[in-house]
Amino acid sequence: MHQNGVAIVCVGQSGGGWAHYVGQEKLRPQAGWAPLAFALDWGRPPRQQNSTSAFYAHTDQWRYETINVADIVSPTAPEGAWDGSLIDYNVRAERMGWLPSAPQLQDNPLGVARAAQAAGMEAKDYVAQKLKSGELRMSCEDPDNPKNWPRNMFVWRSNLLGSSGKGHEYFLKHLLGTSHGVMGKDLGQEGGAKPTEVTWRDEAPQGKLDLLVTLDFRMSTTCVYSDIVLPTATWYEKNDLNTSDMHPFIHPLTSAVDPVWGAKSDWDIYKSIAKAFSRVAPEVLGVEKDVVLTPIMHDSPGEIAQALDVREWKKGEVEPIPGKTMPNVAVVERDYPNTYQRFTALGPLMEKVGNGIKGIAWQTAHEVEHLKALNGVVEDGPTKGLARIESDIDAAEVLLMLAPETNGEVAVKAWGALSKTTGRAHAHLALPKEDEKIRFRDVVAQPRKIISAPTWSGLESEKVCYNAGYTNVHELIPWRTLSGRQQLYQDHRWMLAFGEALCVYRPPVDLRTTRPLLGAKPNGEKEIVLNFITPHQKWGIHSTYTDNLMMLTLSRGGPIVWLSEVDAAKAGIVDNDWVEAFNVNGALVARAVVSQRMKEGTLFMYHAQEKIVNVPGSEMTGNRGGIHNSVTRAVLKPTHMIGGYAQQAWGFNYYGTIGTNRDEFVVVRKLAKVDWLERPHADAARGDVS
Amino acid sequence: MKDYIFQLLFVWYPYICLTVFLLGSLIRFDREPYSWKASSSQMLRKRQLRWGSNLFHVGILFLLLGHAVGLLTPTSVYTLVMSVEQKQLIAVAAGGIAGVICFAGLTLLLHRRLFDERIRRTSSAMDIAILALLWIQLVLGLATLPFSLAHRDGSVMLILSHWAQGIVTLNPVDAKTLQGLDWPYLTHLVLGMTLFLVFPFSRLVHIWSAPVWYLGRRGYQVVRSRGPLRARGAP
Amino acid sequence: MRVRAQIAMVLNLDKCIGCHTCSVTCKNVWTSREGMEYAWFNNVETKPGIGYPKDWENQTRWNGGWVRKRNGKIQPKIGSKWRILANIFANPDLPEIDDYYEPFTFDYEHLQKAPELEAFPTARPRSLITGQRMEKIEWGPNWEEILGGEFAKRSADYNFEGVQKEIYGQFENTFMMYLPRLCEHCLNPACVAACPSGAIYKREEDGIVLIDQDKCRGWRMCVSACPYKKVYFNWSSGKSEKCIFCYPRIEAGEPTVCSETCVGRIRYLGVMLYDADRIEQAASVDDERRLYDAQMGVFLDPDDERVIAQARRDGVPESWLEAARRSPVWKMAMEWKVAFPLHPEYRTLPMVWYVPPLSPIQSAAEAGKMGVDGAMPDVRSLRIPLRYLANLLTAGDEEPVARGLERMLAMRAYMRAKTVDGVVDHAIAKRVGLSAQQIEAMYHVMAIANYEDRFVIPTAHRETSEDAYALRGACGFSFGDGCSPDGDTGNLFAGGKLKRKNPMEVA
Repeated sequence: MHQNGVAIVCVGQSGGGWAHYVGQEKLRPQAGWAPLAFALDWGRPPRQQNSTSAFYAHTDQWRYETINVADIVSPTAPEGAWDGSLIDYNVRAERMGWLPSAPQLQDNPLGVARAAQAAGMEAKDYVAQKLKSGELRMSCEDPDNPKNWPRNMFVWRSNLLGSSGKGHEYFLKHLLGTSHGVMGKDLGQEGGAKPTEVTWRDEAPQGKLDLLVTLDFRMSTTCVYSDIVLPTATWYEKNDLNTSDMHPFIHPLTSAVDPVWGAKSDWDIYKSIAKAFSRVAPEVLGVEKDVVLTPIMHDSPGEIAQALDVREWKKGEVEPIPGKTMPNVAVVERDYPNTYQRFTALGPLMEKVGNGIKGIAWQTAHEVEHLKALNGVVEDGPTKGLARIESDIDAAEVLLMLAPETNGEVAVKAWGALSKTTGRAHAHLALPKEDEKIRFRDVVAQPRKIISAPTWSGLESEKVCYNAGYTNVHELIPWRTLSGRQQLYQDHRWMLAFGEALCVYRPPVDLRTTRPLLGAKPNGEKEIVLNFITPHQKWGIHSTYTDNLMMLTLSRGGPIVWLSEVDAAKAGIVDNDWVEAFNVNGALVARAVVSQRMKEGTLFMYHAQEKIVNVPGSEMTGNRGGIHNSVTRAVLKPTHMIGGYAQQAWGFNYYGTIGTNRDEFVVVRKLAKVDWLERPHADAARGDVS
Repeated sequence: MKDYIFQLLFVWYPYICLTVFLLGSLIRFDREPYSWKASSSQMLRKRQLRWGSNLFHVGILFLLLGHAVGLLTPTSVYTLVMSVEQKQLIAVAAGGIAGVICFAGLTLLLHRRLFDERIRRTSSAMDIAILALLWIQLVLGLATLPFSLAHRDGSVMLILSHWAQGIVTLNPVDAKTLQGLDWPYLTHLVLGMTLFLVFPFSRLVHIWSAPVWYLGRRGYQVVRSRGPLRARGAP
Repeated sequence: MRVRAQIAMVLNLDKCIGCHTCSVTCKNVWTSREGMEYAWFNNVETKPGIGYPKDWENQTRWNGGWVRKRNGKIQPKIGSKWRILANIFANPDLPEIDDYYEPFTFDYEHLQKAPELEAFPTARPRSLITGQRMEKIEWGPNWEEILGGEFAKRSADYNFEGVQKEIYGQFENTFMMYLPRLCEHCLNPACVAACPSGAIYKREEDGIVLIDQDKCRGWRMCVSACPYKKVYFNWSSGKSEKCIFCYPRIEAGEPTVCSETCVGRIRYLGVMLYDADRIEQAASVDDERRLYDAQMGVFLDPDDERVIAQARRDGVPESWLEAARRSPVWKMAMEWKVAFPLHPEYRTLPMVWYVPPLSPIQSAAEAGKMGVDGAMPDVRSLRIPLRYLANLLTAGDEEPVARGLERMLAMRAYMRAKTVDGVVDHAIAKRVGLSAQQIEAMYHVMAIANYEDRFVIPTAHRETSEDAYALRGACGFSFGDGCSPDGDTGNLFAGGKLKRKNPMEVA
């Protein structure tokens, strides 16, 4: 789409360009938020992980992969071996430092640090050497090894198991180890080609997680599956900040009433956990050194590390050099017993090292001074003298003070820092607002427009519309690509291999998920096969509000799927009939909405309707009917794994693998019998049906 | 003992019932107008109601009118145009037909109220009780018919009407005069008075509001004005 | 001439996105309680469809509204006063709750309290009427949302009368529009007419139609009388309730909740002056296609000196006359004639009017025809059939709707020429019988739609009819008895005080 915009010369022009809905995900004051969220004031770099790859590996979806890489390789691919499985590409990407990893090394990173120290080596040299020799291995090469399982998962107001997690049933089977609806056989059972870079264990683990904790204010599907639910406050019961891409304001959430019953604000919950953790940590942890691997980051000087060629140290094609041909290796000091103290104070790194965003860095000592005056300082203990972050409002003030979007002085500094790189003067964009410092109480009185900052390529202006790419075009700031220009042709080897060098039509991929089950377990009803699409719904925001009684009343009172009158007639389905949609990934049950506006051949299931309201049992799986993601799986695209290539390099919320599940197909048929599965557990011997 | 009981039941009790009936209605109308309604349940289930309610109401209206006229018209007045025996014949025939119609309606309504889940679960205890009481009253009333037919001389009718007229003229007859009557009459009387007693606490208050004045409304529209200045334009 | 004022409403369907915010906010404020949970004072329907309650526009079935007798007089379609009384025991025209829907909730607590079962717990539906399990939800207040349901069912939509409807069931010819609707607060309300107890009344000062909850006896004849089915029976209290036009807000000069919360800014509130003496005559015109015109004849020009003079004599406050002159409703209904009444053939003289929606040009050939030379696309080739809209808004008379749509198209063409080409094209305006100035005013009101232009609502003038000075201190210390403590007006047990002389009146 960007290429179209470029082609008609309107990208970066006021009123033109490519508008892409982002929603609440647009964290405008990102440079203020990041230090808080990732504790950059205490330790850098943070560990971050792209969730799609992580879940693909840890829910063992890779064991059931039906796509052959050969299906998606371009006939004009460059010379080389383009075989292997999709997970092989992910593993290679992790090894080359393109994608992050979690976990990272098969050994405890605290132990690795100690070992390096004992060997008298720098951690990065130690890790590189040991990886090369094979004494140290990356976790991604053996996800089913118990050493590499994720053990504790904290879900913060996300509905991973009721909304976003593609391959829902795989989550249930392998990650959680509970009853599930996976109907396909894994590659070992099917006799399919197994991955080459990943250890294959015949017995697939079930139930890798030891602990699942969720913060939410409603009993979502994820909460029902959780071991512990921490009830959190709603928007009117806490103090917080909010921005969106739909308007240029920063506005507050304020506490109109206290959280009810035992609910707490998110801030208070995390603070309490920090406090409790600090109390018990000394039993096993003290001040530790932690070896942290990070991928080659976009907007860092290292991002051109592999601009010319793709070479893998594992294959002996090149030496493993941290930050160049393999992940960066850093050592971060952690003071576990003082986690709470660190949580509630602004750490020294802001003053010592400074702040920055997207490759632009500036000093921020002045802001730290302001915060000490504003929030007060810690009176005693290991964080004595540091600015306090006691309350949620304190945290909001930290954010507002540090971010150029909400602190004019910082904005001028940030533009000045960029000026050093571009050699052009940009500070004029923020000078009119240099004295403006937005405080929390300010936005409580009235939401404020944010200040133009180099974080974003659009401007807040009275003269021009906000438009991505505006400052690149008008301030002559180089595009953050390899060439410094807008690029229509992507010449990375992997882009060429998969036929995506130019933006061209790519045909749907055959995911091979319906044929094995078509007619496999008949119930007397006609079966049809439809393309499964999961658009945004009208009666909820993803899954939030979907269970709200008013929304359910104005909709159809429970999960629904939409199909055309033509397809309904073929399958003998009448409006409001119970139907089942299934494939090897799992099955879902919903009522059908038959409509003339649906195109023949498609089944819509708007996301996300969960399974906590009005969902009977599935005839195919014998379990509760699933969610929209019960019939999907994550489809990893190798082109999303590219790194070390300037614009194609990993960055937080920037680049990485995604679900890519639009080509999914399902078998649809009327439910013959409606079973609500309300019998007690002991009576039924239900489990997986593979 | 028997005398005392009859005294209580047929001299004192009527006045207690009438007082509660009148005062209760008045206080309820003044203090709780929001509670003053017919409590229709038709919208929840129209089945059985169309026949039930029409039959019941048509029947009961005839019965009430018939009872009022029949009991309270002084003997000296109606004997101008008919004999006592003739009056009883009319009463039995008209009352009988009306009674059967009403009973049929009541049975439908009671069945609906007890056995239709929607209706039963949205009924108050009084809703059910009052319907049941009315049904029993109809049964008792119909039960008097064979006895009435057994003595066409109208003697019982006279006793009853004298008793009723004595009550409303505040000059009650000696309760002993009722002692010879058959059980359906006596129970019908007591239950009838009891209906007056519970009347203000039930949906029956809607009877007071039978909207006969609707026929007298000029035109169709109702406009309310805030005050004298605005009302100047009103017709 | 007897001048009265009413706060009337216009909804611009060209901008309605069917978000249902109006329905949700109204329900949150007014009808989230037992007995009324199924009743949506404001609801939004997807058309074509049979709506809520089912098939409400089919007066052959429901007998709503008025009927004109052979002698030229009108009476409620459910019958004469005698007939209404005769039907009072069992109203033959009363919808059942299933015609609306059986309201439901879910066993949410089961998700937290369920014992270990054979499968993941799910919250099943429960009837809000019986409290019992509902095996399956079969209908709702918005069942046909975004054309849900087979065309064969939805095309029973009465507005297809006279339209060759079969082709509109095909994917390529699909059309859709939203119809948000609420009580019309009619000039000639059938609900008022049919109420045997006289509990329903129209307010003289602002035209709002209310049901006196103390006087309502629950005869439920009003429910069938209303052709829009906007009087609801509260099955818990046994009384009828309806949209109150947020009168406490209107009295304070604030818009109705539905209007203010409307995301798309499609609602307008403004004063309309009308001649109370001409209501019956207008509602009784012979041909139902003339009702739209007749109703416009009941409206009074707020700039006319004679009207102003009579209005003053009739006690209409000055600020109301002033507001009437700035009324967006007057502009859209009377000056630009882009707004039309909903189903005028019901003869109730409704006071919530609608601007019809434009739709894409159906024929490809027509698509390129919008030009600076004033050429107008044929509104008959718009995706939504013109006859359909006319059935909805003008008793089937296509001409006025066509004119309105053309004016809206002209507004677009004119503003495009001005904004993009910098040209003021008077010819476009002239072609549709408007001046350039009027087109720009239309644009300002209908497209920009600023808050203060949408809502021109004068406050109430209670001081003209009540002792406001005494009230101001007493409001709040009352016991459901309006603004005054019981002591003033008295009750059965404690009489009111003797009337004392108001010190202000003593000379």
